[in-house]
Amino acid sequence: MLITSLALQNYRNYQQERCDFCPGINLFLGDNAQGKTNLIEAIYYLSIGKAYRPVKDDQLIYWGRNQFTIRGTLENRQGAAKVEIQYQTDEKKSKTIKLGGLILKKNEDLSGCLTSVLFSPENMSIIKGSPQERRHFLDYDISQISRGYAKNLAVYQRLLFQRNNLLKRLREKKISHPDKNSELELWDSQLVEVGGKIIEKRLQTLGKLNPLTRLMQRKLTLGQENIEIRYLFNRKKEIYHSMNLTELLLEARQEALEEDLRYGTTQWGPHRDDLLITLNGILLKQFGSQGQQRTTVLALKLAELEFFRGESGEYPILLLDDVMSELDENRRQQLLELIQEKSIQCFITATDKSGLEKMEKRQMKFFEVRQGKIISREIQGEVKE
Amino acid sequence: MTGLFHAPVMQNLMEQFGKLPGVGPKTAQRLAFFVLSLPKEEVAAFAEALVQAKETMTFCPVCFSLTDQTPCYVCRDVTRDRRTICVVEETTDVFSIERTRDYRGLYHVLQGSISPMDGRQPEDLRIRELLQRLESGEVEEIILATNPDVEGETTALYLARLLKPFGLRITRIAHGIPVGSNLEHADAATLSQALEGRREIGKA
Ligand SMILES: Nc1ncnc2c1ncn2[C@@H]1O[C@H](COP(=O)(O)OP(=O)(O)OP(=O)(O)O)[C@@H](O)[C@H]1O
Ligand SMILES: [Mg+2]
Ligand SMILES: [Zn+2]
Repeated sequence: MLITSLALQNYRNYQQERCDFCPGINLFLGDNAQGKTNLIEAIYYLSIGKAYRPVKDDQLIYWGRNQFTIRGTLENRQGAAKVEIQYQTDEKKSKTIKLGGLILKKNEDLSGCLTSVLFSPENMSIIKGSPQERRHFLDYDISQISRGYAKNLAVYQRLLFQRNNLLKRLREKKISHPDKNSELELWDSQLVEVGGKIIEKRLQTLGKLNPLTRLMQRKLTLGQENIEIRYLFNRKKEIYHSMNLTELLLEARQEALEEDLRYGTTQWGPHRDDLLITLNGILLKQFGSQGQQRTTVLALKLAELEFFRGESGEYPILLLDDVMSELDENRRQQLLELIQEKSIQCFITATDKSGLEKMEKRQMKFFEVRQGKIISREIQGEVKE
Repeated sequence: MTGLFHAPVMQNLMEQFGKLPGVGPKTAQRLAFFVLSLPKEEVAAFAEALVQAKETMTFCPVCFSLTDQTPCYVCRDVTRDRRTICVVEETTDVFSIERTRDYRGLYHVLQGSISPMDGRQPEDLRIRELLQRLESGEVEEIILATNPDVEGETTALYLARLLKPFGLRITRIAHGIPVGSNLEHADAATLSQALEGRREIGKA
């Protein structure tokens, strides 16, 4: 997949800019606070129809204006299409996404056209953050390839919300325990069913991501580091694909029933699960160095890239924001080798091009980013691709 | 921005409009000022219409749809098939199904769905009344036509379990791609649901 052109209007610190990308490696160079990350964010936005950072669309509008527009041309194996995303705050806040000139009924439908894999320094939360961050990483991947999964997640959230409401009401109510149990059962049979489907899909996906991540980590570290990702049910028990998930969930429900009623929240289910990531057998979150953690996030992202290709037959685009810092010379070198090996379109930001200009195996295009202006510089390498 | 200061009568009027579903403060303000621009007779007719509708419309004692006659026109229609009851959440759902002209059975309006977040439990719906209707032994099929959202599905599930011992035929309406719209125009979530609910075809 490719993005061949991008035009921004009133997006972040860009008033009116457009540029054409090369199908190989596109390098955004510039000092701090010039708009490199904003540009990566805009490309990401174009690919899935929303921002990756937990920001409101309002914050993306150039200060003092009332709308932003992102336009671009996307290419996948089905052909090329123009995408236009406009957000405005005039009368009523609204976002419109046009694909090939037609307005999409559901904005989420854009995500089927182009997939992107993004590495940003904020992704370190996959390692360092709460279990929610890790689940979100996995859920995002699966949602990209299965709309049914995305729907199941939404249904699950709603069921959970209703059940928690019911728990709080039951807590106040003076009725017998078996009566409470039977009122909950109506929701729980559904939670177990949908929750089971979610966990099953996660385990299945992890089964594919795990060996890919291990491979990438070994490549990046010249075989020195072995990554292992395990799925932790209820944050404590490792589970596998072959297990009977319905039984597991029903058991967990029974066990937690007293507590659930006491606290008014649901203490079991896919929203309580976690991923356990170990490096050479040691817990990465607690004992990994900065560089090791960063390398692992990169390995995860590169594995994601291969995973998407396996599922859809095409490589997504790869966005690497500020990827070089904290990596030693060897790891940088391996990363650049890995990127060049694959026929992917890649966008990289950096404050200077030292080391990066050595990527001779692919076509490269340099862009200088300065105070919200993008200046195309030289193209390096063959033009064919 | 809506103005912050208004004469008390206007403030009151805006608050009243603000109670309507989907009406925010901005729209409420616009509606309030619009009312002032109308001739007095029209405003009186408007107010009268509100009160009259409220006074005239009642719930059908049989099916609990909103009606201006008791029982409602469906329940009093002797040509309708009394062996089938279609269970819906709201009176507006009755109208939707009536528009198809395909359904000739009776209705039962639950007046909502099970939703703990809104404080609605099974006992808050017209379920007891539904069970009473089954006592005559006339009914053979129940069609569960609650909404395809989480609350509607839960209500359908609840009813299906509750009605099981009655030995009736219990069916759930299918959801998926709207007829007349082709695949091209269906959104991915709907398509995915339609795929999941696919059925076998061409088998004897
Ligand atoms: N809505 C907005 N309107 C105008 N300017 C904005 C808006 N949002 C952010 N900016 C500006 O964009 C700049 C930050 O850009 P960005 O984060 O892309 O920098 P960067 O080039 O990635 O820098 P670094 O190398 O430090 O990561 C900030 O100076 C900020 O003031
Ligand atoms: Mg940056
Ligand atoms: Zn009636």
